[in-house]
Amino acid sequence: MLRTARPAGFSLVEVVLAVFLVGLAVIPIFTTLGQASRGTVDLENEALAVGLATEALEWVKGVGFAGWSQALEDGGRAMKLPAALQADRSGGRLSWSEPRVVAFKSDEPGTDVDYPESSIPFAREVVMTFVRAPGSEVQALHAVATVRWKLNVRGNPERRVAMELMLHGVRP
Amino acid sequence: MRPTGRRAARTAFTVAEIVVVVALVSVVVALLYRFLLSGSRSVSLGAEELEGVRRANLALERIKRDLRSLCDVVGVTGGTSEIDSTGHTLTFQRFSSEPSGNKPAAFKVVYKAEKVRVTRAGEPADGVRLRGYYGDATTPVLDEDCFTEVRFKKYRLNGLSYYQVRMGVPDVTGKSGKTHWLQTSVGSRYYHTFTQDPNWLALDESHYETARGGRGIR
Repeated sequence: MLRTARPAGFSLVEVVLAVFLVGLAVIPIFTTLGQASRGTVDLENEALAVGLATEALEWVKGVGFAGWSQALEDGGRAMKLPAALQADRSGGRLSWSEPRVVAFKSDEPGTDVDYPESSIPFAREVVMTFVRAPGSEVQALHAVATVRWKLNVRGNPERRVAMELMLHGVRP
Repeated sequence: MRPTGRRAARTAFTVAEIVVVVALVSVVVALLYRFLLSGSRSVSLGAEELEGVRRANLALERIKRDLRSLCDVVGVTGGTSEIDSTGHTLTFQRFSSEPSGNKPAAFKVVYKAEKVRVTRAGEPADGVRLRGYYGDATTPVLDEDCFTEVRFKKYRLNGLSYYQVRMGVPDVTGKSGKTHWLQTSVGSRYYHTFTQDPNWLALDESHYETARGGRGIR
């Protein structure tokens, strides 16, 4: 008499399990594709962030070493910037911070410094520090412009671009 | 003789099993195909968009480089920078990288943004060549079909002049229909250096070797 032998084919349960496992295996593929697409968006944001950081360093360079030295003394009250200048005389440090990059008034009416709407989620900070080599008359103003933004994806990770600049001079 | 008693061992799938498996596999393959297709499409569109941003960046770098060498030649028509009312044409004098004798040489540069085309003209032609350059020698096309809008703007901040350049790159995916913007402000290195110098005086035509003639000392 023959007993029932072990089935040679797959059972339905086995097939369903296999399909489930294959499904799990393809998740990383989708994740990679998603990341590639997110990377594109990120690079676009980065291009705009570099432009905003460059702009801030242009203003720093324009005012110059002597101008910022004066601002450290008088708090930069007459200085036109997108946000209030913070001056720490004892630490030789100047900074301003914009939680959001928005339009502000320039010297002349009707020519406000404005930005495209896509700049609004960006935050910009400029920190300037006076440094001096020991025994040297010459000082340097080290400026760092940092632009931060958050990606509109799960986890909301923060990205940033930082650019720096050195100006040399002699402080009175 | 047929085996008797319990059923014989199964050596193949039943029709029902095959049908269920085929159905399941079809569903999985269809889903995979759809996801992979939309994924690869969005990646390739993203790459295309990125190329637009890269081209706009190159154009922006070119404009920044010119603006950093901007100079004002007082007393000459077109000697100072000018932006038309639409913000699409920027004209200015810039230093040449090749001085003439003991004087710095200056020449005129005109940027024109017409619809999606940006041209740069040096007067006289300064032979600027760009990657992917085309157009005639005097008015090379900086880039084409890349921008939705280009805008030039001049403003003064803390007594100094800055030039704002804004460039829009279209969303080629067509999903959002929005424009990706690139923007920055640039000031002239020479101009700012002079204005920071307490002995600075406005420089007139006699200080430059301009493209309009004016060769020799006046």
